[in-house]
Amino acid sequence: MKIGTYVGLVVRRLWAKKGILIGSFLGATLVTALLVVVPLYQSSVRAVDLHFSVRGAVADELDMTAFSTMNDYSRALGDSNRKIVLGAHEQWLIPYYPTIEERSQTREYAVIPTEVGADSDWFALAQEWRETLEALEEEDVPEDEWPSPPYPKPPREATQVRIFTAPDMESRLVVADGTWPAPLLGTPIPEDAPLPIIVGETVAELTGSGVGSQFFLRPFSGLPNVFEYVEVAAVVAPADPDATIWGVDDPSAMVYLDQQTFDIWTGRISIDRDEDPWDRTYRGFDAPTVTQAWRMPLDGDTVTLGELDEIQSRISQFKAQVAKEAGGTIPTSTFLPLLIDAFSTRSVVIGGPILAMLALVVGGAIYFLVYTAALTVEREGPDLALLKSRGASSWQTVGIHLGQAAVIAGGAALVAPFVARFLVGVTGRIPPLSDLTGGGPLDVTQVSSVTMWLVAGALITFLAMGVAIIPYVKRGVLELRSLAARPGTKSVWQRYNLDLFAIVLSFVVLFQLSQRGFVNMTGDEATLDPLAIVFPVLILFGGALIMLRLFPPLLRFVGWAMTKSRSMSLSLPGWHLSRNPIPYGRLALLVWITTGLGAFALTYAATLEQSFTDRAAYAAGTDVRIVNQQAGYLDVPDGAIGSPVLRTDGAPRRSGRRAEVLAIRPASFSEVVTWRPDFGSDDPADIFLLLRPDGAAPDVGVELPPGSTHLQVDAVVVPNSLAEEAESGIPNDDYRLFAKVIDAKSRLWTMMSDGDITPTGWRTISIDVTDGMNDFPTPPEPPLSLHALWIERSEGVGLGVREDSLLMSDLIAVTDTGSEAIDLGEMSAINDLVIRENVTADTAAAKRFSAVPDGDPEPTESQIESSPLYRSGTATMWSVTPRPRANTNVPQLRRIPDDIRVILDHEAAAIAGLNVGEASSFSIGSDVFNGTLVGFVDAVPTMTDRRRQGAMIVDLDAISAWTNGAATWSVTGALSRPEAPQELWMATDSVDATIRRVTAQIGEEPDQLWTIGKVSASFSSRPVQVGLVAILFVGAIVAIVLALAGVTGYVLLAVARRSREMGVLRALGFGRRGVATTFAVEQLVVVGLGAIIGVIGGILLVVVMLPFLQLGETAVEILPPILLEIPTGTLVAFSLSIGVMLIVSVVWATRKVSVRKMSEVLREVER
Amino acid sequence: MPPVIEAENLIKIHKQGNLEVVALQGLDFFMESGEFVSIVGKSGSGKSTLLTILAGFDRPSAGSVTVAERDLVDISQRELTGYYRHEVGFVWQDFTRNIVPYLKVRANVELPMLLAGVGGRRRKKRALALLEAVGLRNKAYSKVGTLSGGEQQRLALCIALALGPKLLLADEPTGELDTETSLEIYELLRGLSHDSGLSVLVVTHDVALAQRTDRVVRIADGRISTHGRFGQEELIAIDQRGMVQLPRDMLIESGIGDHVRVKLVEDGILIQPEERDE
Repeated sequence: MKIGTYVGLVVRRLWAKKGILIGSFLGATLVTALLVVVPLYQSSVRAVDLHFSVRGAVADELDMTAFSTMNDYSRALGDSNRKIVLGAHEQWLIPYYPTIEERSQTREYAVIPTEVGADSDWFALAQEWRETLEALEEEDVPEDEWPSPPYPKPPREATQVRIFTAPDMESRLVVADGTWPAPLLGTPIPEDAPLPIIVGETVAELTGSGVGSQFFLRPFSGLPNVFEYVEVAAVVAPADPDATIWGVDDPSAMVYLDQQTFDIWTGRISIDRDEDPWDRTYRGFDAPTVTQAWRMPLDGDTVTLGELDEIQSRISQFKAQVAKEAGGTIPTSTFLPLLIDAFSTRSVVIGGPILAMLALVVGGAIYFLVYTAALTVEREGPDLALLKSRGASSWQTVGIHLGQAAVIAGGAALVAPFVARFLVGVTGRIPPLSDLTGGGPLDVTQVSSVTMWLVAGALITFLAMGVAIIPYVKRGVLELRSLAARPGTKSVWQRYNLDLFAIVLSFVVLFQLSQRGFVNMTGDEATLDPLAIVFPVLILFGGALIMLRLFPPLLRFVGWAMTKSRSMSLSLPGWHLSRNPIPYGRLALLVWITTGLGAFALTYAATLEQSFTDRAAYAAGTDVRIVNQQAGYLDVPDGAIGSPVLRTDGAPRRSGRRAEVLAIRPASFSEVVTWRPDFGSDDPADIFLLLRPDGAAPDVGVELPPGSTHLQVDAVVVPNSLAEEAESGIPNDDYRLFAKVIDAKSRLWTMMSDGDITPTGWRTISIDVTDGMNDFPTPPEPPLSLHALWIERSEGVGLGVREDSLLMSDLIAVTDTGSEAIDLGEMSAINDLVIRENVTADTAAAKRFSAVPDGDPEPTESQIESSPLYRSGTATMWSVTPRPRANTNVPQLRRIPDDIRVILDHEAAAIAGLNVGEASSFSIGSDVFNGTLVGFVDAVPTMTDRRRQGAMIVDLDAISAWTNGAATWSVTGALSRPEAPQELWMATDSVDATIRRVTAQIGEEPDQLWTIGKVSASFSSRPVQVGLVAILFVGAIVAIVLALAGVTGYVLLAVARRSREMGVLRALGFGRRGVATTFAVEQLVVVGLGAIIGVIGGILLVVVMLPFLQLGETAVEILPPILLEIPTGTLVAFSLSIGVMLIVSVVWATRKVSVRKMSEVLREVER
Repeated sequence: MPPVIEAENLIKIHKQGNLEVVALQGLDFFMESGEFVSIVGKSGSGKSTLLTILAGFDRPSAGSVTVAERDLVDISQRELTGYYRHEVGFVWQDFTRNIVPYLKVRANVELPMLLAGVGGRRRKKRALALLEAVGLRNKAYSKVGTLSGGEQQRLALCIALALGPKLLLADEPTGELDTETSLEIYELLRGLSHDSGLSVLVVTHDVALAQRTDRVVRIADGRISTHGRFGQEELIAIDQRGMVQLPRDMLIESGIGDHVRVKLVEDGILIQPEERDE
């Protein structure tokens, strides 16, 4: 056969059937375009993400650096290294790293002043030494007994400097004083002349030197004779104080030499030993330890997307060349490849599910193609029969069809790249990707693999269309003629139960995946398990086939129900549906797949978006979270609700496996925390209020009366007797009274009495409770609770309190309006403190006068009673066994805290083996306390510390009394820093204003500031995922449009096939409209059921895909877990839109057929 | 010269669901080369079934059939294609089904030659000659949609004759045409048969038109019908369920009505009219 004529026949067939084949062309274009989208989009988004990673990166991270540290630096070595690095730079990096900065710096040198003490200097010492040598020489003392030369030695706290040089030094520094010395190259220096140097301002300041000052520089380690006598020629400062120069922290702390001088003076400069005060034969720093470094800055803003791959390649080439030529002595580094690698992991983890989803769309579109092709072949039955009857062989029949498919697939392959580019480009306009692209289209990065995907697309579409002819190849003329009227029934899938097999297989794959995970990590490289892509495709495929099996019985049932209607327009289609439901399966399946894809895309997008919101909320914890020292004590602005939080670590049952601990105020925390019901309860209060079942704050001490300003007590130290005093002097027994007071903010205040308790007589001492020794920013806030009382000797270390040494009256709280005695009954004496009540108050006086020195008269009663030590009535005796003060617990009167209620997450509870209601010991930091497990929680926002195992929640106020309540020796020792809540969680409608007001209290930027918006913006993977979902959605919309075309075509065909039936109905007296309605209802029931199943199926598919989404960008499970989010409103709108479109297409198609003339229809009947 | 068609004892059973319909039951048919024969019969008599078997579109359930020395019972798919190309031409009743609508008139005639690999120049020459013969030369480059029914059927004849078959089969070729045009077509067929020695077999239910052929064969109940005679013996197929379809002529002649009396005799089964109680 002549190929040209044959092709002409194919083309003429195509042109004649363009109406029906246009659907195939669109489908083929979609499939191929979506396949091409995969590499294009991946490369484009990857490039965009990298690009912005590059822009967002710290400059130092992008720069290429090379350095070499040599212990025996020499000019030759330096030149060799320079040649290697500059050569490799010129060869590989110039286009992207156009400049190169070089610097060399030595290890630390000590600055040694010339003076030695006030009266001498090193030169004088050297001169003396020389004179000594001369004397010894004259005395013929052997040389080995001569003293060593007095080389300059650094003072005890010598200033350290590094000697630095760089070619561009003069442009980076400005001379503050003096003049820049001329290079010393070739200029001989007199043996005793100092080396002119330039010093940074800091060096000048630290050494107290200026222009003309002289000193020695000597390495901290090295030979003692290697030092240099230098003179400051100039003092310099950085030209731009804010700019980082050569990556040096403090450029002013350097000693500078120009490059030539540096190179000369790091070698040996021979001198006449007789001219040198220390008898040296050479000067110079001689083979010092020098680090030679090069920095090649990359301007992230100028890097274009297409260059990234090449930059990566050039970096590799540069590194390889330097490594090879320098033999590994010049390490090179840049973080750029790391940034790229990190993204690679990210793109695998994120890209995997998306690839799977694209596979679904492609699968759907392929099905559409096969379906359309099958429809076309059926419709072409008579045509094929004619060809065959005219002598066309089987191969010729197939060839014509395949030629047709090839032309369509080829045409699609030509158009697809443009469609793909458009699809990829348009995502750049969708937020949040538009934030990165500035609202313009995404710059599409061409990759070579596109061709491969294009060919694959063309092949797949060709096969998908071509395969439809296969079942008909061997059919006879008569069979082909009847094809259009009697399409096939039961599919091969059902005949051999392949649908059930596919479903079973997909679950086997799912089980495998759940066992081994979706992502394989090989070293640092993450790869997606191929099964992870196979699974969703398999389940979609199997599900679709199962639906084909289930749909006929469903349709039969619906049809049967419709036959019960009295309306002919319902019962007739019902009869038809229930009689022969199988052929409708394909139509329903098409609708199901396409609406399913739409529902899937919408549900997936909503789920993903909700997850991003949830993740941001989880990471932030609340609207505004400020982390700073004592942030929990900051005032909360009006309009916001605040809750202080202490974050620390601890362990249930003193387990060695530490849990993350949050100490919270249950009520306010419940109000501010971002919560999701799956964290443990519908309302966070249901869980957190378990910490305070009665709602009241924990009883942490003796509450002071409102308005208390002071605590007051009369006290006296029991003195020695007069006789003892005469013998051993007056004891140093002054004491002070200390108190721990807890204020309304749960701050533990340490407060000290204003005066000493002395052995000289009863004194009234008071503790000011309106202020404390701590450095809290605001004064104590009432109500105040007295938590602990203790006494300390006023000064020094040594023994603590003596036994039976202190008498005190009742403790009184002084208020603005009067005073009130405080009952200390609920406090306990611990750590060897013994308190004896109702001791006679005259004990001190009695002791004083119990013994008088020999010869002194016994005191009279009136003398005793008039003594300041005397007091009538009773008092309280504080007694402590003598003990060393250091490293011992403080004897104290303390309110022992109640047992603490604890909430654990399941992990921590499992580790400790605790159940609700069970008491145990717990630890927080190093403090151990008794507690009871009162409830479980599944997750608490912000508790993401993966180094800890499990989470533990306690009451902040209760735990403060445990962790900070113990008295500490504090008069002369450092006041222990209490564990203060370092976080303030705030719920607010005006985030910015709240942040401003709160940070104003701190006076500087807080250590950390968390807001939901800020966290959300930091999700670098978000643009990628949203972009891909956008593509998915666009694909789904195209698929839906195709489906509509398919449905219309199918209905046209299905109704046209039944024109005989239609004619009979018309002949029986049915009106046109009646006939149209009957047929439309029939088709609508099918597509309606298909659409409903599709939407449900789409949602179920997201459920199936959820495990894929649980992996974050670093292949670690996302917190909190992603939950299914069904966008009900959007889905209803989507379903209604699809419904309307389907109704219109079905009604249009049925109407088109039903309006045919009666004569025409009946004529068809005759045939 | 051997007969162009030799069909002996042809049986064709169609399955329609669970029901088996015997379309041909032991039909014998012979046709000499160059004959112009018509087959007449009522609807459902089996004439179209016979034609599709002779065309190679369908195969008999039993019996033998040879057309132009080709055995159509055991013919392979490959041989069948050759048979379609070189031995037989076919014209359907529905003239639109004879023509490829998107090809122009000449291209339609050339199509079988194209499929058979005939060169372009020969194709064109032959096509124009055929069109000339049927009076459509001036329509050679027209679209087929512009042709009248008669013209389309004449075109169908051209297509069927494109590769010079030995036998032309036509199933009600004038079924959708008026009398005048039908007569034209028959004259054309007669001319082709007599002038070029083409064997033509036409199926029709129009007895008047059939009279214009050389020989009229009547088919009834799937067999060649002769008027019933006593002593006539027929071979009748028994279907899978043991059902036998008796010839209507015999039933009428024997006076058998709704019921028969069946009696097992020594050498077979005797079927007699039911004896009615007067």
